[in-house]
Amino acid sequence: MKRYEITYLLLLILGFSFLACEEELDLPTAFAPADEIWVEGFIEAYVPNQDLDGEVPRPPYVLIRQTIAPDRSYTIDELENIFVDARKVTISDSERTYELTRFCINDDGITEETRQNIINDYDLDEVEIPAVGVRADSINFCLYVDLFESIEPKIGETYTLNIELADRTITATTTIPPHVPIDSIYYVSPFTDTTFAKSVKQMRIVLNDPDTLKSYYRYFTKVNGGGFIPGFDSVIDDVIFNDTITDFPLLKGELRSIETNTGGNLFGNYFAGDEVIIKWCTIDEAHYGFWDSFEFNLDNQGIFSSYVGTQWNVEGALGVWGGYSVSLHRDTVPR
Amino acid sequence: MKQLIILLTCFVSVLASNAIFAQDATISGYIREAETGEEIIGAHVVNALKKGQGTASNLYGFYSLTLPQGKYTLEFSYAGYTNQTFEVDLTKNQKLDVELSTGELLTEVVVTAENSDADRNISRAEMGVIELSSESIKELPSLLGEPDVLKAFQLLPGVLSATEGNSGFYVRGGGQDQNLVLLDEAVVYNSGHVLGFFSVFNSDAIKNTTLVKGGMPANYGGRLSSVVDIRMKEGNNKYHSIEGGIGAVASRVTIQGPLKKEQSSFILSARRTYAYDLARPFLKGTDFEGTNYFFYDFNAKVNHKISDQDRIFLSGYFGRDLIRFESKFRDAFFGVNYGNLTGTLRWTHQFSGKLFLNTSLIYNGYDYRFEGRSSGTETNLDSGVSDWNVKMDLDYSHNSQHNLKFGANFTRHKLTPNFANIFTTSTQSSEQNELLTSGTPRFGNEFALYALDNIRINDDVSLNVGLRASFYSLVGPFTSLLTGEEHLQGSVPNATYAGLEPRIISRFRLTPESSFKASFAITNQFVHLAQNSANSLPLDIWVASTDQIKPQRGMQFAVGYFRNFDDNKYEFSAEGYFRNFRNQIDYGENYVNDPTANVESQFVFGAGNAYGVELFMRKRKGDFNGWVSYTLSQSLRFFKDINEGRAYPAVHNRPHDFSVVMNYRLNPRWEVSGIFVYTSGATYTPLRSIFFVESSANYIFGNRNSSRLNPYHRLDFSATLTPKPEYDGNFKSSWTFSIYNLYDRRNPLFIYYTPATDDDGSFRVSTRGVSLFPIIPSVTWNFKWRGKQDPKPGQ
Repeated sequence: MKRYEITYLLLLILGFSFLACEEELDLPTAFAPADEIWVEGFIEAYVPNQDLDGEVPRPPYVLIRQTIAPDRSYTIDELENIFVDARKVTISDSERTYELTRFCINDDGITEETRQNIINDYDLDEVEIPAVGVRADSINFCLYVDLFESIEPKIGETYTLNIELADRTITATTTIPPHVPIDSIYYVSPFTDTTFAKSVKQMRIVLNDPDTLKSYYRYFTKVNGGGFIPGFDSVIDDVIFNDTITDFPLLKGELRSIETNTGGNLFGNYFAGDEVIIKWCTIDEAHYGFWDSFEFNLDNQGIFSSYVGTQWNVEGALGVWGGYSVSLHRDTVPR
Repeated sequence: MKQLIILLTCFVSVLASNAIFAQDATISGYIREAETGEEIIGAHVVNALKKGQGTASNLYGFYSLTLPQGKYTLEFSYAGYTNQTFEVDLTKNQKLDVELSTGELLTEVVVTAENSDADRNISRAEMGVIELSSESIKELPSLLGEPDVLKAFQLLPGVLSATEGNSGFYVRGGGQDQNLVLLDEAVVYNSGHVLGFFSVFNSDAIKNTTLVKGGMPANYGGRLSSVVDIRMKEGNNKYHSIEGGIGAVASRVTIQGPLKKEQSSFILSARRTYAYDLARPFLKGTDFEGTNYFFYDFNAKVNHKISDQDRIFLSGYFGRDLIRFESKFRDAFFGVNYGNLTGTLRWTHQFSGKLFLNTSLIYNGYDYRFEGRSSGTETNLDSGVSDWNVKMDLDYSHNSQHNLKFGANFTRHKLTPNFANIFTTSTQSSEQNELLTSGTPRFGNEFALYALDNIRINDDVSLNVGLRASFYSLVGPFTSLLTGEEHLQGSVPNATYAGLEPRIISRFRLTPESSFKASFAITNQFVHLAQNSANSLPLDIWVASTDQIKPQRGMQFAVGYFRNFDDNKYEFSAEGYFRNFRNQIDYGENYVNDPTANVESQFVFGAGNAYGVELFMRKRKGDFNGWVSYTLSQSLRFFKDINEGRAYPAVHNRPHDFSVVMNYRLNPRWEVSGIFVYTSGATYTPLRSIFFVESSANYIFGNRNSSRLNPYHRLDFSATLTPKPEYDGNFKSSWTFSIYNLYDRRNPLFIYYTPATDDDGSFRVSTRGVSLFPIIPSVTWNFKWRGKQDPKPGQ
């Protein structure tokens, strides 16, 4: 909702669009690009006793990579080399500490079964390396995982990530907040035009938000199989609907790479008959702050905005360490 | 306050001393344009034999010159008009109204006449003051054929445009909000249409425009950087006329004439765009069928002469931008509606030949409204600012050495930075569910007293010394973000500020053709503009000073060397300045636009400075005239929470700014003009590095504004054809052919980053530049019809 203003005002310059020209600029680099450490880790607790119906909860994992420089191209081989080897990666809860294992999917000695399990767990066969059009499992993707699934993430628990590198220690904390489930799902036709009205649907959900201000949500969708993809604006806060029963649209997740976006009027909508699984998550404030600024960073460049810095919740590096409390909701888009 | 009392005491002492020793007499009156009866602002009256003895007509066309008793030859002059000379036996106070005549305005726009204010740049104790007439502005090539006063100013040294084609501007390193833009004394808070690509000022309705970018005299206040004082025409009080222009994107028409001849007159002026109206047939059947965008302006003014001493004026401006999009296929609608409303009621009274009073009651407002509906959710956003202003200004011409101005000004501000109203309509129940109503207006009272004296010490030295005392108080309802304390309506929270603003401009004549000047000014500003873009946008919000947001305070010191050549045919100046600004606001580096949040909680605070050198060479006379200007400058900002506290260049930091403006009158039928502009590229914040999350490449930015786009340059050309220049009938017309960006330079308006793949499959991030204005030809037809006139003398 908060981005209506900017998005619509982009249309302001429609009147000049026939004059506008866009081209790639070769600008002089006036600074030394930085190689920095980038940490990305998530831990998910599923709402107990829900029917997962074959869906596999994603075990906790941590990626440690170097950022890349903006002033040059990177081959696939070079992108393989951005994974950083840590001395030790641990996750602690209120009772104990668990050590994660580094796992690179193409390393020697990895059995095919284990490799496949990891690929499936983390949807590496679905996720593309951004804009390159290469699946993540086609490179030697390295991550730190709870290989023996000894951690049992719990709702309400706080988890501390600790990473020891050769030259520094990186820490971060996240809490998996109490879960607020989707109350119900229904569909409307977003079109007034009858051509699409019957076949294209917009999903809306009803949510009974609790009276605790500062509930934060994030969602993913999986449509007709494949992997979970986050919604275009995937995070929502309850500032405007705290302690109310509200409803709002849930857009179909779309990869942000330009080639795969469904543009125009179909964007974010579903087709009748689609089998949809919604992965609905409640997250904590710092985790929300990361995704909110992350998406604002991507969506707001150019004439209407100056740059936006992404908010990190990691100390000692850049990155995010986020907890999710998760429920899955299945539905078939009615005809 | 103590300093104010001392200064006032000095004034009185000086006046008293002169009163005792001099046997003076005063000549006073109005200087008007002969053809229309319009008062002329800034016309000169000098003793022809001793040109240092003189004055200029004030903002209301009134002049008053006190001289020792005796016989004088007085010369009345104004650029572009023929001089008038009168022999005066000044043995007692007397009144003399003077009319200056010019050629036909549609054809005679070049400064050609020899006049006694030709050396004004070296003879007056003023710095950085530039006047432009609407006729000279119309001569310049313009974007889509729309003459624009604010863009004309951007061709002068020390004035930078916000972005390509934008009427927003920066003066000497200050922010856009630091420019006091006045239309008939009413503040215009947003002076741009269409994202600032056109200014709100209809050139047909404007009489005179003055830019003060240097030493701001004490009668101006409330802003740190500059004053753009635009005066609307009063209305022809001799005959009726209709004039206008039909252009590619807009047309304008102005009707004016006497209500009662030479006693009261009116002017009505309107302008509207129609590009989308013309495009509508082509949008039929597309998703943009329900789209429209246009803006309009309406200016009106009426004046009445009550007596020889009293006149009243009522003027107003109303302009809106209206944008509407309604999808043909989806439940999606948005509308944007924004604009200004100003109204000025003025009464001028002449107590005597020496003392002149102007009293004004002014309202001005700017508001912006966004309405959006999509998928059952409706969002309304409102922001705006409005002022009620009462002011009194007195001009007192004590003698030929002292010309005083003093006055008072009270302004009641109401600022509504961000009102949000969001509600949903449930498809299942059709019930409306209000989700959010947020925003609280801020009220502030601003009061100022000022006094200044134009002192002519001798032929070689003159001073403009003034002091302004300004006071500001926030008024409840207000809840402090610092203390949480709540203040009820009408109460005064702990946010009251006062400041003294000394102003001095000195002139030292070096030779008859050259002078050295220096100025010093301190200025306070109690409102701030929060911008998240280099552009001047309608959704930029004005915020009041509170206990957390301190008033802006600035200091400027400037020196200059001024030299004329070849009997004032050529004018040269070199000025240097240093400025600083305190209590600046900006959005934090992690700012995420959120209308539900209290906007005041989203700011960070800092300071800035700017310094530079400005060179200006102008040819004032002849068929070939124009100017060359060059500015070398720096403007830096210091914010604890931006750039890790290190200094960084302001968004408008463009060290080199070079402009050439040329007009050439080929013959009475044709006149051509050209503009060339070259500036350093705009600053931008470069990428520092890139990371990947969930199939997205995301950007980490480097130091703010630490890189620069390629230099900006552009050549414009226009030619004006007057088919029958000698025709003396009632209807005249001319054609202006204009080409904007003649060699099709692609100057990026903005850049953005996007992931890209090379041919070999490598990944990189591409920097894309979007330029909005390629080569754009346009044609405008201007016309003027004159009603029945009195026969000319001798006919």
